[in-house]
Amino acid sequence: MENWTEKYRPTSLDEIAGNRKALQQLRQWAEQWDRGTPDRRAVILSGTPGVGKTSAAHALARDFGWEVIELNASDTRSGDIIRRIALSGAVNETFTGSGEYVSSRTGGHKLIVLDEADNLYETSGDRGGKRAIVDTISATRQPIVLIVNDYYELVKGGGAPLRTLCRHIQFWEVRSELRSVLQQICESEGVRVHQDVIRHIASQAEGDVRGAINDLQTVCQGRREVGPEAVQSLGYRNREKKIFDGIREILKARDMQTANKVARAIDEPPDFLILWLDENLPVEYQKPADLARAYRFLAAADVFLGRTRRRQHYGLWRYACDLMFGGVAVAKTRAYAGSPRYHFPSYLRKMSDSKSARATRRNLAAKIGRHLHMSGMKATDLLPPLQRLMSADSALAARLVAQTGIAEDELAVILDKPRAQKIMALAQNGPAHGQQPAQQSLFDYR
Amino acid sequence: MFQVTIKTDYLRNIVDATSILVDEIKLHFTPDQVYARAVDPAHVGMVDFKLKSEAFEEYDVKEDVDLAVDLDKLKSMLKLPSTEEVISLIYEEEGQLVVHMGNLTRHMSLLDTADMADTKIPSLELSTEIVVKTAEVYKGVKASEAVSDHIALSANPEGFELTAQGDTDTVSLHISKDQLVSLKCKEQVRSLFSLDYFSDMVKSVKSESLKIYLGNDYPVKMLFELAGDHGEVAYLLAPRIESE
Repeated sequence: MENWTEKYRPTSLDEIAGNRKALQQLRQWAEQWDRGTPDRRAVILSGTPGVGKTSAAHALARDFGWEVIELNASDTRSGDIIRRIALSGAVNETFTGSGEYVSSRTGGHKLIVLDEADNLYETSGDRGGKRAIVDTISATRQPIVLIVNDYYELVKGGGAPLRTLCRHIQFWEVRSELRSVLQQICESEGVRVHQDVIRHIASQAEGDVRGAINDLQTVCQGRREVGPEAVQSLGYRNREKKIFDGIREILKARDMQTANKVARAIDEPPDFLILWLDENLPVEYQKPADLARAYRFLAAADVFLGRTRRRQHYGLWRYACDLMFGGVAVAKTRAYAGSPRYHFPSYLRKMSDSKSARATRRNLAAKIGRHLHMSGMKATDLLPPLQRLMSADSALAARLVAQTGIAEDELAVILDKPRAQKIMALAQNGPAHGQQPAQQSLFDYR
Repeated sequence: MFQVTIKTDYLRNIVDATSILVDEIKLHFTPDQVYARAVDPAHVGMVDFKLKSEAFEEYDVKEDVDLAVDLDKLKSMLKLPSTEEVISLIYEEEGQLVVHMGNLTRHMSLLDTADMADTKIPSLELSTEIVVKTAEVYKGVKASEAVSDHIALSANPEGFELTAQGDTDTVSLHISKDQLVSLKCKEQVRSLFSLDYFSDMVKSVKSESLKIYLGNDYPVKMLFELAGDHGEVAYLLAPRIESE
C-alpha cells in the first residue's frame, strides 16, 4: 500500500499546511532570483521533523519551474561529495532530467537542496562538510536550500559564516491546520473516521504533520469506517520508547563514538537523560567495579550539568555529554548479555507523585512569608517551630489561620487532619472561647 | 535474457567514459546495439554512448533488455590482474548478471531499473564544429589544470583556442586552422566551463581525434569514436555561469 505521506505530499506551496509566514518568506526569496542573484543566495529552513520543510523546498522548485538536485542523509556527504555535486551544480548551468538545457539567463535555475544539513559530519567522520557548504554558498549562482532541525548546530563553529550568507526561515509546528489536513485525506481515501480519533491523532502529533498522517494511515489500514474505539489501539507514538531503546544502545555500546551518536539521535537534553542513565546503570552493569567506574563518569558529568545551569553556558553540555554517554559506555570491562527490563527514572516519578503535595507546602510557606516579610523559601524554615506552636495552642492557631488565610489542606501539611479540621472550624467561628487576648496576633507588630 | 562477449579494452573504455559522471548507469541492450544516457548528480554533464553489435565478439540479444549496473563493481573486475582479452556478460536470471573473465566468474547483483529515470539528451543548436587531435587538447587541459579551475573554449574562422585564467597566471593554447583536422566556424564563439569536468571528459577520449561542437555561452558537445567506428560517445557539458 502506498505511503500516504508520499501520496499526499504537497506539490505547490499553496497546498502546504500551516507556516504561512515562512512560506511567504520563501516565496519572496525565490522571486528575487527572477530579478538576478539576490544578496542572500541560500536559505536555511529550520524546524522540528515533519512540519513540511522538505516538502516546501520541493514545492517551491515546482512552483517556479526549477530543476532540483538534492543531497540527503542517505548519501554519504563528505566535504568532497558536497563540493563535487553541490558546488559543481551551483556554478554551472543545468541539464534537466527531461532532456533540456536551461540557462540561468532566462530564469532557468536549479534548486540545490541539502537535506538534514545539521548532521552531515557524524556519518562521514570528516569535518570538511561545513567548510564545503560555506564555499558552495559563497560561490553559487544558483539558489540553495539548507534544511535543518537545529539551526544553531549548523551555524556554530565552522558554520558561523552561514549566519550572514543565508536567510534563516523558521518553520513552526503545525497545530490548527492539522485536523483539516487529516480530514481531507480521510475524504479522498473514502474512509469515515470518528472525530475523536482525528482529534486524538492531531493533539498527540505535537505539530508533526508527517507523524500524524502516518498514524492516520495506521488506524485506517484496510477499513472503511473507524470508530472512536480506535483511539485506544493507537497507543502512544511515544517518546518514552525512543528513550528506552536509546539508553539501552548507549549502555551496550563498546566505544564512545557510537554512544555519543545514539545519544544525539535521542534528541533529549542531557540533564534529562542523565536521570535515565542513573536509574538504569545498575540494571545493566553487573560487575561492581564497572558500576563504580560508570557512576564516577556520571558524577563528573553532573558537575558539568550544574555548571551549565549556573553559568547558563550551554557549550559545557558537550563535556557533560561525552562523560555521561561515551564515558559510561566505555566504563564497562565487558559487554553484558541479555536485555534486562529498564525503569523510568524514579526521581521523576517521585517528583511527579509529590507534585501536588509540594505545591501545597509551597503555598503555605508563601502565605506565612507574606506576613513575615520574607520569601516563601525562607518561611519554609519556620514551619517546624510553627507546627509546635500551633499544635500546643489551638486558639493561637485559629487566629493565625484567620489572619493569614491558610486553607485547610495547607494546614494539614503541618498538622494532622482532625486537628486541622478543628482549627479551621475555630478560625471560622471566631474566638468563641471568651477571653480576648491582649495581643491580636503573634505577628502583630502594628 | 542474453549473452554477449566483448573485448576487455572496449568494456574498460565504456566504464571509464561513463564513470566520470555517474556511479550507476542504466544500459539498454537492443538486438543491434547497446546504448546508455546519463546525467551527473549535479546536472552539469551528460554522457550518451552507443556501441553497435559489430563491436562485440559475440552478440546474442533477442529482445530489448534494460540493466542498471553499479559501475564500481565492473571497475573492480576490470582492475584484476588478468590478461584475458575478452569478457562475457550473461543475463539469464532477473536481477543478476553473470560475468565471465577467463576461468573467473562473478555473479553480480543488479540495481533496480525502476529507481533510475531515463535521461533524455537535449537537442542543442551548435553552429561551430571543430575536429582536433586529442593529444593537442589534452596538452592544453594539462597545462590549464596548473593555473585555474575553469577553462574557456573559443573559436573563430581562423582557429580554436583554450584559455585558462587563474588568479595570477594564464595559460592559452592556440590551434590555428591549418593545424586542426577541420574547422567549420562562421563567427567568433566562446563559452566557459568547469575544468574538472572538461579534463575528465578529455582524458577518457580514446580515439585519435575529437569532434567539438561549440556555441556562444552555451553547452559544449564532444564526440569521439569507440571500438573502431562501431561505437560513439558524446559528452555534453553545461557552461559556467559567469558573473554579470
